[in-house]
Amino acid sequence: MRGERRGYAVLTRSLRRVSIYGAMLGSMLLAALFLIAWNEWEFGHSLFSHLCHQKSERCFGFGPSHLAVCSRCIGIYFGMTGSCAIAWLQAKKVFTLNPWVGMILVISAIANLLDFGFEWFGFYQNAIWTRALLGLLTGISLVLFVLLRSPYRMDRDEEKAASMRLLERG
Amino acid sequence: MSDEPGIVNLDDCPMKPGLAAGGVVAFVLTLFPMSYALCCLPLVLGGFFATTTFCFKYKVRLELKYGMKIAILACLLGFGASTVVYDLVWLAFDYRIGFEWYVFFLIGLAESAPPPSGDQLFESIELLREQSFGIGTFVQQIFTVILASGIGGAIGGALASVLFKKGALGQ
Repeated sequence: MRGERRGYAVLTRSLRRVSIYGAMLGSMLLAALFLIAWNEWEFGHSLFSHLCHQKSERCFGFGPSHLAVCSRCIGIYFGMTGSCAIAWLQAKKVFTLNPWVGMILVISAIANLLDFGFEWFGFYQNAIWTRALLGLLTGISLVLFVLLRSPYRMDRDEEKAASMRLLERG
Repeated sequence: MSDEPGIVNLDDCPMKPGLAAGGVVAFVLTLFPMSYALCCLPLVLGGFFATTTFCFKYKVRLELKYGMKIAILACLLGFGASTVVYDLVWLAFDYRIGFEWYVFFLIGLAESAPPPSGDQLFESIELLREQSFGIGTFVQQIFTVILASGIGGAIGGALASVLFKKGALGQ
């Protein structure tokens, strides 16, 4: 029991670092996107040109220009950043395995594909907010899936070896 | 691999197979600009393939940060190489690989768009056609490669390292 707790503690610290870095980098990315739109930086727009089609009517407007990525991409980035921040703040509660998170990720990925495919083939016209919400759902479920599946139970030998290595590393 | 039971020493596992496999996938998928339409999906796939190859090659399960590291490096290699090839062909033959396909895609979007944004899109297509290769383009490409590889590789590597959890722990 004691060993299990120690094993989890090591992994939790590591995952907490990942979520902190994720939240920080995600915030920087979002801030950069808003600054690029506010200042109408051409260089910034071309920087993201390989990451997104940047079609103006599919992007949220901000200040005099529109964001450098489409509504679906900004939804994904917001979802990922927000989930990392929540995981960081709620680190102790987060680490409970839940099979539903994987299911939500699969459902949101399929929903995005169908949304894209149906519009591509002209079955219906989606709205900017539906794309953003689907992206948001994908971003949130992706990060939660990764963080919830990361901790795992070590067996006795692994735990002993891992503890020894950590001691050696100081 | 390691004297310690249940732990695989990652110093004994060179990254080369993972980097090569993921790099090739990222190279092929990003060389043709369908990545414009698919956002960072090609790089997510490249990163996913790199970490998966590493896990299966050495039969290890990886910590999140190491899985992401392999994936990001593979994406940097693959996307970097495809950008170099793209630039070389552009400079040597004044031909941009997949550019016509991309313009065709943009024209399709512009035609279905309402007049103000459709016109803006047509203007940006003209600007793209007139664009010439210069130091500014090269610097922008370097930043784009780093940014896109970081985002796509991190997502792909993280997914692969949490999906494949069989084998000994790599540390």
